[in-house]
Amino acid sequence: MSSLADRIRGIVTTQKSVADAAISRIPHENGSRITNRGESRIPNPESRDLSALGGTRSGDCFVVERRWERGVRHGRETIGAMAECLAHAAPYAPLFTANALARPPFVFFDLETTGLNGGAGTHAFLVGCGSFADDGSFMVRQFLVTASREERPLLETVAEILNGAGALVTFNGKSFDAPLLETRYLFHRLEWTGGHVPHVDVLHAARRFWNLGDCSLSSLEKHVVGARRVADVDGFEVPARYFQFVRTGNVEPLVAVLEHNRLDLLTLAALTSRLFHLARTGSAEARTAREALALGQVFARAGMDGQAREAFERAIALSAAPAGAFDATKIGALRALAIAWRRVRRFDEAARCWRELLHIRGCPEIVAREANEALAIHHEHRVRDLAAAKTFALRGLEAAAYPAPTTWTRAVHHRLARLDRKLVRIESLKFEV
Amino acid sequence: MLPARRSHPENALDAALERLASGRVGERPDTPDLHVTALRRLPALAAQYVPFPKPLDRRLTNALEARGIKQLYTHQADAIEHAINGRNVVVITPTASGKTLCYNAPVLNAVLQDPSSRALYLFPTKALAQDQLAELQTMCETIAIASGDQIGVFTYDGDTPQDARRTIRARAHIVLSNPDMVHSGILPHHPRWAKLFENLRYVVIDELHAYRGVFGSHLCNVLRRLRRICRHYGSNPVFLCSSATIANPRELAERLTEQPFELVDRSGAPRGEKFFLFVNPPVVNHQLGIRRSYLSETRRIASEFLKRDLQLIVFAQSRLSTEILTTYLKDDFEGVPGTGREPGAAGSGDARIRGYRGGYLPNRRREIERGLREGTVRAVVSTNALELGIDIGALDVSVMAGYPGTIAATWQRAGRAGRRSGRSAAVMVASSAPLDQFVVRNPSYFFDASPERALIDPDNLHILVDHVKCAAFELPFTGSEQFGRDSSTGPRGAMSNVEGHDVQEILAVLAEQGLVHPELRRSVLDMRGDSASGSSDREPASAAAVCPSGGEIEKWAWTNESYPADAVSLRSVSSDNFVVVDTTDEARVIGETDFTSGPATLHPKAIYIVEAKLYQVERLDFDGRKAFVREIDCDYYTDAITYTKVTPIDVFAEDRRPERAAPRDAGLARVAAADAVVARAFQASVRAHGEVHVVSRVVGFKKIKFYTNENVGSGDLDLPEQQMHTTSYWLTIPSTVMGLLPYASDDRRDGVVALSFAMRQVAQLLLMCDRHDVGISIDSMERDASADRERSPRIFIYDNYPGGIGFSAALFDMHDDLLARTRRLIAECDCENGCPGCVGPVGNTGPLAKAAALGILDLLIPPIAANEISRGQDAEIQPF
Repeated sequence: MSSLADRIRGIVTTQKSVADAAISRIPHENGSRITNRGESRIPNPESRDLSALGGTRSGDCFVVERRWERGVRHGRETIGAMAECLAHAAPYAPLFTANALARPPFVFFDLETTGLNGGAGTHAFLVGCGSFADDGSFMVRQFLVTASREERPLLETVAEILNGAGALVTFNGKSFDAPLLETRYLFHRLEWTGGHVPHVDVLHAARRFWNLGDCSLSSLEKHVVGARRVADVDGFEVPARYFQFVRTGNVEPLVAVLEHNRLDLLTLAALTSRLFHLARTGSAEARTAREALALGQVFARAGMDGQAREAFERAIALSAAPAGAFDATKIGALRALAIAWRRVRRFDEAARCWRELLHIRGCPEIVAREANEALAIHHEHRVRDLAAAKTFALRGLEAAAYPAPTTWTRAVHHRLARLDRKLVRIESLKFEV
Repeated sequence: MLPARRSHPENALDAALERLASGRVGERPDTPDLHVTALRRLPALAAQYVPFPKPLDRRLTNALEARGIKQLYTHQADAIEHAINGRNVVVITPTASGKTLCYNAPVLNAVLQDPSSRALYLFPTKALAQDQLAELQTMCETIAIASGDQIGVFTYDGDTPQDARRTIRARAHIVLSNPDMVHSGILPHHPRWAKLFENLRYVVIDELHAYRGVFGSHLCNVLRRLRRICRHYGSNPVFLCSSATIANPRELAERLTEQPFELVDRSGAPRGEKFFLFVNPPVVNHQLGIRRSYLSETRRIASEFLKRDLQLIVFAQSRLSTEILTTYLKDDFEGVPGTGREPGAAGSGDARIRGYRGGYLPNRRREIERGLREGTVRAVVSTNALELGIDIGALDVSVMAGYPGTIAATWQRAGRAGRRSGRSAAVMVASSAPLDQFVVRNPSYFFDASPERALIDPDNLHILVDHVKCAAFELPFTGSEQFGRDSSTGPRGAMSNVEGHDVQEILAVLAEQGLVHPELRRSVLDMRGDSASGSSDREPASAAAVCPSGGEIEKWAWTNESYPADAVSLRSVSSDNFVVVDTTDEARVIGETDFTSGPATLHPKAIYIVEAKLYQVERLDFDGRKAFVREIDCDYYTDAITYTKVTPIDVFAEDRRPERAAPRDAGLARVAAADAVVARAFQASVRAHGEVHVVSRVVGFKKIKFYTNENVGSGDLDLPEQQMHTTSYWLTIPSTVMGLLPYASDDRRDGVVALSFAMRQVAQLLLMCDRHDVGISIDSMERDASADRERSPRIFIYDNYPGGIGFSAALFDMHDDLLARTRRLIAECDCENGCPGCVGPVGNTGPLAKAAALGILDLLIPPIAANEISRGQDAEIQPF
């Protein structure tokens, strides 16, 4: 090689360490060392042996199809049961799409990409689309880019699938998969129609229904779906595995990536089925206080007040904490219930909830402040117990060690002044009598 | 403003000038030996108008008329006509000549005629973009009110909130940004900007002269990437550039964009009368050649103007001298009544005089700029940070403490004072540095010579490789694609010695490293059928890259997780910086410093100054890039001592002197007899250039008292080294030459130090570069133990940027000129044994340093060549 190449090499090698680090993290499979360097031969894409992936070429796309029959179990449920749940609960889907008209067929959708940074150089090399068939089986079609010239036909095929969908269902797809794919369409100057299809991002619901710390798909799979995965691929390895395939033509590292993508889709389907099922059956089926609370919030947002109150009450009932002990879910449910009651002008019920809130030890000051204010209003205007109203207003101020907004403080002082005027007037009336 | 004040500044200016220099302005010849060496009068110029060019949209001309612009200056009309006809144009006209209209008019015109048109503006700083945003928006409001056409103008830079970015991409007709943002935020996300790139009609590059050296070399590559993306989306934008006065605006524009350009350089704008003074501080010690401190002299001159309530800007050479001058002026005017507009107001003394430099936080800077425009700030002391076109209004006087280093920068700084009508003045106070002394004693060098050429080297391998990576991320390279202009054609600057590199070769190395992957052309594969069969019989296309297995490469796909633009900073070695945390009360950040100058300014016990407030560094967290400082009251500042060592790695070229050389100096005639010895002396290599490794370390510091500049103490430091690979020119003084010098070895060594001091100054003049663009270092002159003789000392003048920027190759070519001019600088200086104006002050070198340096040069310079060069220059340019 020329000295120019050596100089370039010197410049490049001092700059790169990230890529190497990623490569070195990948376990060697079957004891064989997979390297990305020193490959003197560029693999011939057309003659590579892709049979290990179990796919076919259709036109310019490489497609892998898999089907799970209805009797197969994924965690607690069978595929057939999931399909049935979804079919029944379809009318409730709009509860999870901010009321966009989500309807079947639901297309579950997940990308595997060459990086997380975005930008024109980040590609979706695998697009996985799953859906339930009429016979209750679950079908996954995965489109793999085996050479970059295949990306455009792949996007065209995927666009047809997405356009045929009644709703897209993803996990974090609103912030990641959809924008990334949109970039690829823009890159090829193809129209991106995915933005017009209603989109259920299960991550958003999952955070509220099953707050599991990191709320990753794998922990949801374990705790909510009840399934276990063996020998899974860590997400961070995925790009490096794909690059190995590109450089060496060896399809081996990709086998596990495709399986990983399929299982993600299956778990996504299971979570969606659970969500929709809860929406259909109501809070009676909620397993935890948290589920019930989140469900209530979904109902409340959709204006389904009755179901919402039921769900909040169920959440309070499911709370394992003894009376007066701190329980964040219970606090949330009581507050939501109080607001729900107030909305339908059942002020006594609302006041009961606010009072109960104030009895919980460690109730956050911001909530306590809200409760005291609500109770002060309640006692001033409806119960007409001015002394009690004053007590609550003052307690609200005391609770305001937490930096209260000055407009709020001013409003309380205003209220106190008015209460004092009213109290004086009452005193003077008494005197006259 | 009070009507009575209209004439006040002119009277005050006359009075101040009268005080500084007596004599009739305009008829006064230059007087190199006096205190004021030059007092030139630049006459007022009348405006030259033409009507609006025909093709301009009525809606635009109506809006212009509504804003009081009824006709155009000639240069505006010329530039607009070129732009509308799709010709790239570069405009050079002075400050305040309405150059923004030269590009705003064609851009707005295009948007009005076709609302899908887009334009991208590049400014070297975010602040300039903000400045321009205000002007464009006012213009667009006028258009909207009159005709209802909505034109979206937005800035898009690092400060743009994430949630606003989508809206901007959708709605902006005109995007105001900077090269850094285009590099890391726009180009890598080009699909999201598809609308912009599909319809990009104009790219505006303001302050073109700012893109010299490393920054310019980076910008050239960013523009290569930009044009590549435009081709992808089917657009071919026209470039509109504006520049301050430099010698080669058209060449620079053509080099940066690799496109042909039209030049518009005749200003039709009016100009007020301006006086330009060169001041040389008086000599206070004739024997040592020591002049009065130029900072004190600047302070005295600034005070003359400030006393008369003239608004002024003072340019200092460094951040440190900015702070020192701010301190001096604040001291002078603190509490002096009757000079401010509102004497006695609390803190008014503080607010009237401000410092300004890089490293101040943006809010403080905006506040100072506003104060200048509104007139509440009467004087600002600034580094070159205010040299660019930030709107600070029209000031009365510009005072430069020290020669700014280039003719272009001097005009630019002088231009910060001055109005379209009315008088203004500019004063340059020379320091004792040789370059300053040369300029101040030869005013015609400045006033009559053409300004510098701005040079870039976009094919610097470090820079090029970085941008090839970014480009490969943005869009796969094809197997025959090149990057930038065709290496065989196109204008080449004098500084570029390296041929354009083959991008395919770079990609091949990137492929080895796994960053990209070559994909073979399908037709080849089809022909080959089975991959096992050989393809040696197939001739690949000559231009296309060929992979080792013999197939033709269709394209290079990016196969890496990283986002390469994040790792590339356009402005410096690294985007790393140190922040300065004041811990006096509660910890708060009061400034920042770039990585390379961190150790020298923020070492433990260093005095860090912000607007005359003194802080002492208590702790430097080198790894955490933080310096913790505390307010302190003291009467000194600190100056770091840095040691630098240069080691050659690869010699690109060197040559040996022919034997014809013989000493010509009478004093050395006796050694000339020993012909054989001399002949051997000149066998050794004399000049070379190549790749070097530079290690520098801050080893200590001096404490220097304010005003007296006494050295009142020092300290040792133990800080990590900083390393850099760059290119260097070096002069080897053969040990035989050293041996011929009739001096003791200590004196000979002093001679080498003295020679390097003078050579650096001359190199700077020849290269027309900034002071910080080159570094200097001398080889250790220990005895070579193995040979038991003195080693041949080497003087390195290196490019102060990783990878080099082309100066060293140029110096190698100018070697003879460099030595001849250095000789004349030393020989013709009046001092006895050295002074700051030639080989350095006597204290720094030894008593015989000057003589020894001359002796070395006499032995190195072939007498015939020396005479030729000297004679040749007498004719055209004032020699040393």
